[in-house]
Amino acid sequence: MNAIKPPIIQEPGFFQFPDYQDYRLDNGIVVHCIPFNSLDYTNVLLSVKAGTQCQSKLLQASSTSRMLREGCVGFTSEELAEELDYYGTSYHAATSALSTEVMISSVSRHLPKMLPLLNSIVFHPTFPEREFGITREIGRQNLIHSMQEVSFLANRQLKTMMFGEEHIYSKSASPDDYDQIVLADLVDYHKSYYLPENIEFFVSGCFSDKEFNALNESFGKLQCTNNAVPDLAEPAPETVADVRRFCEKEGCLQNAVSMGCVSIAQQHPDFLKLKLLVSILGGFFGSRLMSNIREDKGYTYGIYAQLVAYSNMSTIVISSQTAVEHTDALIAEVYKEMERLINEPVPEEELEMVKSYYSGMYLQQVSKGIDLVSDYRVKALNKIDAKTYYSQWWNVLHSTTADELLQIAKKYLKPEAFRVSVAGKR
Amino acid sequence: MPIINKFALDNGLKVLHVEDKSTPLVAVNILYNVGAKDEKESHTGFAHLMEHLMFGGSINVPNFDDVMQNAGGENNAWTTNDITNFYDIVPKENVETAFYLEADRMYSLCFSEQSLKVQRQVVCEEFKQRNLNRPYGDVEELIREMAFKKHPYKWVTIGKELSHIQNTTMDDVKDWFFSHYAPNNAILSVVGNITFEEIKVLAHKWFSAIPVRKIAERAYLPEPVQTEPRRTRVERDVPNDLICKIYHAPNIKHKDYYTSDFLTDIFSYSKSSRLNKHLVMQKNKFIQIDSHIGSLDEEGLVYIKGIPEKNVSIEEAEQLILEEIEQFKNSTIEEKEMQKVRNGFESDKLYPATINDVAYDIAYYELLGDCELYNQRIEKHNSVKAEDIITLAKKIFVPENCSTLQYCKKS
Repeated sequence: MNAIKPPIIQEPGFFQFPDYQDYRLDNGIVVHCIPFNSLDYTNVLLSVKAGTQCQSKLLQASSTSRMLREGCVGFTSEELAEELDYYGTSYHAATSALSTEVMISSVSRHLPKMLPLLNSIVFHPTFPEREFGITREIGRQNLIHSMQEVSFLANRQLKTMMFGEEHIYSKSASPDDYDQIVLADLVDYHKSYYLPENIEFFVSGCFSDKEFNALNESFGKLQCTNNAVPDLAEPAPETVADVRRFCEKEGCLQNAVSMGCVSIAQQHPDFLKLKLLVSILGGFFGSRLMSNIREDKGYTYGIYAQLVAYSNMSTIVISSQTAVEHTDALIAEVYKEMERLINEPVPEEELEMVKSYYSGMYLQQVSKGIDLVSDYRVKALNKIDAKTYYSQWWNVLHSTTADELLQIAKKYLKPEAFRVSVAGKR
Repeated sequence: MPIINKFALDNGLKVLHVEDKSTPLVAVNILYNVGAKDEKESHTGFAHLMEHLMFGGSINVPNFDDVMQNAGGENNAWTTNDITNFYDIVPKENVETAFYLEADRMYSLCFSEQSLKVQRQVVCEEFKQRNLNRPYGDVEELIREMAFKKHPYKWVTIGKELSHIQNTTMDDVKDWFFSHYAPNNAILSVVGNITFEEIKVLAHKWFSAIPVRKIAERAYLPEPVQTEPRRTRVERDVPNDLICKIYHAPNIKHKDYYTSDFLTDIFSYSKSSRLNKHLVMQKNKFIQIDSHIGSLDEEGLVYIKGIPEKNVSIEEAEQLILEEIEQFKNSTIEEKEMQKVRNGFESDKLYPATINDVAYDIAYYELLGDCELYNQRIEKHNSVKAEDIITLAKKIFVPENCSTLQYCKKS
């Protein structure tokens, strides 16, 4: 193996985000579809505009979506679980600020049996008292469990610092809030927001005429009114004045550090360049933060920076866990790395490496096939066309210069805007 | 079902291949037949530290990750008690770079002192992050100490204590490398947009010059049969009690392995499975309960783990699990319940797998004896018979085969 010649690295070719199509059911409900008709599997994601932003008290929206599978007209909780499991259908529901998603994944041949069930789950839940008591207690215990983890505490505190105490993105439940939520809250919430005019579908996998007809049969006859929930404006963030907060957690061996600030919206023309800059800072193994703080100093197992998109803003968030005694040194190094990006252009060699790496990651993202459905939905909810977004990202990866990144860093990477949240031991 | 192609180099390296033209990528996976079970009890956590050092520079490549990232590749690795596995996902244009990198570090590391110094510290932070600083982070460790008295499975991959990692010297590293990292102790598998012919050429070009090495012999004996009940009770700063009952069971090479897998699926495959249905939803005595088989190659385990409701004592919780087991041993499983588990399993396995998952899975089955087991697993699982499950349950669910962990919330 002496004097071997390394292979010449080639630039990978472009790979298109897969084609997708929009359909409408007979009543106008929109179906966004990424077809892979060679598969015998289908994911059906029903998205309903019933997020935490519409709730009148904490836990109302998430408790409602959580209880959907605990019983619906014609099925008790137990019967419903049996029916889904018998057909090997996986079911998942989750609520975010803007919406709730209910997704079923099924071998395509069972889909016609599963769709009427999905209709019943979403539109005719029975909210049984007993199951409500059980799931509420499980929810409370899960939260108590999460609160034992320093990373959970640090992230939660950081959101409060970036967005303000009362913002929809930072308000979070305490274990006691589970005592305040009652069944009537769920029934009210369901009645107001789980309406046919508030839903749309995202489908991936096998979706031929047969699957479309089954979907239309189950959901195309629902009466839609004009009472759709309007898109609510995202409240402006109110970043707190104090730069650093500490959340005490006794007896821990590591502290969690989360640092972050609010930044530009994903519709902003500089957004993707900022994404590239944040990636250089801490997006991957070879990033500045990982190279310095893990691979050079050994302070941590991992440190990452992310640009997180919301509707009309984003956040730059850096998070890590480190030995208690290295906490201050780690934070100081993060600021140093920010300053370097603001004051010195990224060397060409490094920029080429980052671009190559993210070109490879791009290929992984767009070739995920059937798993693209959630990503596609998140983009669509924010009125972003996934195909355009990805081809723009590919272009940014191929055209951005070190000088442009320096300007982006000076404009958007403001060390003084960052809030620092630490959870653990002082 | 994928067609798996296979050949071997003269130095013993086994090569597997599956072609998938739908992806722009190729996954390159190398599985080394070495894990934490090859460690000495006085020096645990070493197999995993070694995995980290495999990224610290090889004979011709000072920095593995720089080259990988320049090629648009992503890579990672993991270690278990049985194996150490590395994978790379690269654009199809740059498959050869992955071969070059993997071959170079199989040939020899550069054994950098700096890398050893830093990675010792990184692994200690990993140890804290994953185990020591996390609620319930030592459950598996306590289970292993109880279930295994002789076999090196009695310690977990991350190791027994931080000092074992901190005390590692460069001589340890070199010894381990040259007695375990070798073509005759590895399986290379490649899945993605590349032909078998191309793979053959690349494998010859990059790996055939690596010499056969003498692999350290495994010195341990199989675990003696457990003959009496074992119990451990600990108190920890956690929000809820946790009860675990662990039974020895057929290992993955045993003919009854799929029966034990099916058994745990009947217990807790999904929401409607017995344990959740009875103990969480009907009796409301547990917040969660789960059963699964262990993932150790040589010794099978069946786990039952549950968090009781706060007004249920840990003794009552254990009793409820035992009643559930007794009831099961005396029952018959109806065809509908069998079919439900089969459908769930089939559905899981039909969901399109990622190329790196396929690459790892076929290598793993090859290590067990035959990569074709990958394609046979649905059929093997789904041909299990109801009466065999009950027979197995009667055999393994006996007190003298059980280790019980009462993991209690500090009062």
